[in-house]
Amino acid sequence: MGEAAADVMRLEGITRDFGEGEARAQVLRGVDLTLRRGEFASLMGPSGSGKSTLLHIMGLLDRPTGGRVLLDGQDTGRLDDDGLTRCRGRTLGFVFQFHHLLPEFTALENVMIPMAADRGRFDPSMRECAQALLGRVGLLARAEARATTLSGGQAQRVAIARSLAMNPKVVLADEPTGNLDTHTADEVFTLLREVNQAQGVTFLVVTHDRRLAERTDRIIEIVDGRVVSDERRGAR
Amino acid sequence: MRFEWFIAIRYLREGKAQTALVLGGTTVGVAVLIFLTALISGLQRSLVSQTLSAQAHVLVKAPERVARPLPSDATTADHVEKVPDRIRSIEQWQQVLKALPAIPGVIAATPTAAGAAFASRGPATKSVALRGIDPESFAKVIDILPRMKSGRFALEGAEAIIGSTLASDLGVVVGDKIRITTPEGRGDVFTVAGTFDIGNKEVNARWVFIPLRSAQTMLDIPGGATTIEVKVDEIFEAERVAREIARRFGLGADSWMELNQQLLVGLRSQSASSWMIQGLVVLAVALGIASVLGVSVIQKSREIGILKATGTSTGAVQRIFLLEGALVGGAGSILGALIGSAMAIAFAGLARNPTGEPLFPVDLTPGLYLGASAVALLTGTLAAWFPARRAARLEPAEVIRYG
Ligand SMILES: Nc1ncnc2c1ncn2[C@@H]1O[C@H](COP(=O)(O)OP(=O)(O)OP(=O)(O)O)[C@@H](O)[C@H]1O
Ligand SMILES: [Mg+2]
Repeated sequence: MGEAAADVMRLEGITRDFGEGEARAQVLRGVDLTLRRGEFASLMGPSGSGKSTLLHIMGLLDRPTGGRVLLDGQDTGRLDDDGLTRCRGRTLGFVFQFHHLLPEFTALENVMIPMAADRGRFDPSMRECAQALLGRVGLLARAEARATTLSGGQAQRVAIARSLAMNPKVVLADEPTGNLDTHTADEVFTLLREVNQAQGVTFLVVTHDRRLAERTDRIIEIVDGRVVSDERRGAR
Repeated sequence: MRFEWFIAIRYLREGKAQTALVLGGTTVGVAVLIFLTALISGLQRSLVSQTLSAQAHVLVKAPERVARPLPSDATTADHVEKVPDRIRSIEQWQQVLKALPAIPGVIAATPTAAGAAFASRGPATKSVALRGIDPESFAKVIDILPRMKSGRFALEGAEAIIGSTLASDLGVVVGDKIRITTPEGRGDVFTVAGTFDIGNKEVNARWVFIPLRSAQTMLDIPGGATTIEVKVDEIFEAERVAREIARRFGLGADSWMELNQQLLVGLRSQSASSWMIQGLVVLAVALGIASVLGVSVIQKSREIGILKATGTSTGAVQRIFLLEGALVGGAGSILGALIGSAMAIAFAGLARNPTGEPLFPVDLTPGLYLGASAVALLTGTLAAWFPARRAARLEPAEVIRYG
């Protein structure tokens, strides 16, 4: 039981095929991976190695061809689409490479959307909560700004605030700093780290930047759809 | 605010050009619907009411001795001018008159003794349709009081009420005397008590009302009545009422519908073509909404993916797009109703009869607005159905993959 409680997410023999017949390609070839509660892990690997595919499966955005995804000990394979959506909304947060904010909405509204989607309505309490989150990422001043008017770094901060909206257990970030200059990338990475330490949220961050990966607790590397190295690090 | 409403309204507000396009299309569609229906039903109503201005809804008469003629033999003008070869009275018409109100749908009935005659004053002689009536009950069946041009609609002793055209043909005014003679040679002098303009040239030029008793004497049917004219509460029920009267009393009974076959056929084909136009308008609006929403779903697929990735259920995504269709349909129906009514009213005001009634009357009824709104709302929602399904089925992983 102690083991299960320490593991927030567990992948067992995950495979993922794309295409049919001749064009069939196995992108993930049996991935076993466990994320421990509160850890800050990075995922590295060459382009096309399957990092995003893996992240989407972990994020319940995609179903594996084979294998199981266990979230807090629960097998998510049994859930229907709405069950997955609810589970995803309540336990997982996402940060994407291209911030993926909704352009029609303000920064604040973007942060409120996961809460409102879950509750089915907008409450005044959500506004306060979203303001607090924007405060956390240092963007309270831009709360009412349209998403499209934010700089890349600012947008990524809002996306981080949004990923935390539902108080997730795990945040999955796919190259969150991939589109930012070195300085801004450092800042955003530092912010993720702070959230991880302050709230004990588990992070899995995909990055191509060895220098940033060195700042995490654990570096997982995949090549050709297989985990080739998984290195836990004492110091950060 | 409901989550789906918030998102749908924001999408509509932000997609200005697209929203304006569908809204404009829906508005024009509903406006056309309202305008066309109001105009056509107004025209039809006025056609019918004009036809019925001098005609009872049901005409009861002595039974035909031969089989009843096929309805197609009857023509509009016939009724007004038809003079039976031999004038026959309805047997025991007083009892029939008394029993008629018991028939469902009948609201008034009046006896008439009608026949052909000549009216003359000095050298001027005109052939006329003589109608002996009881003014009081007659006015309940035919709405003649508002159509009086001069004098009054009452007959005391040897008085006559004549059509305005006949009055000017003979050169008489109220108070003048005219001589009325039947083909059989019976004649009498009547004082003109009033003139009417019923909006029908034939009637205005030929009809002469005299007291029932005088007509009975002149037409040589003592105490008789050639027809009983009946008013019903629902004009399109007249045929049913006529059949019921014929069945119960063994008399001949013709509804106005039977006597105006051509008019009815005309009305029906007019309605049919109007329905077709409206169907096409609705179809065009539906296709417009569906295609614009379809494009917006494709444009928004990335955002739909994000919504789904951040906890928006498939059902909620579908509802967002259905709502967009319904909102556009709803707003379009309000705007379209306003514009359509304004157009109809303006059109009605364009031309007026000498009497001040619009030449093109329009019928703007609550039912019409309700119907048009329901159609617009339904069209909007149904048209949004396929785009909404498409949106709901998008796989978040697919659309998020590449920025
Ligand atoms: N929906 C799909 N259909 C077909 N092939 C796919 C699909 N999604 C991913 N792939 C293939 O799977 C492989 C892995 O893709 P993935 O995006 O996971 O790589 P990645 O490690 O994230 O690469 P990058 O570092 O460039 O983001 C690629 O060869 C890609 O073409
Ligand atoms: Mg990737």
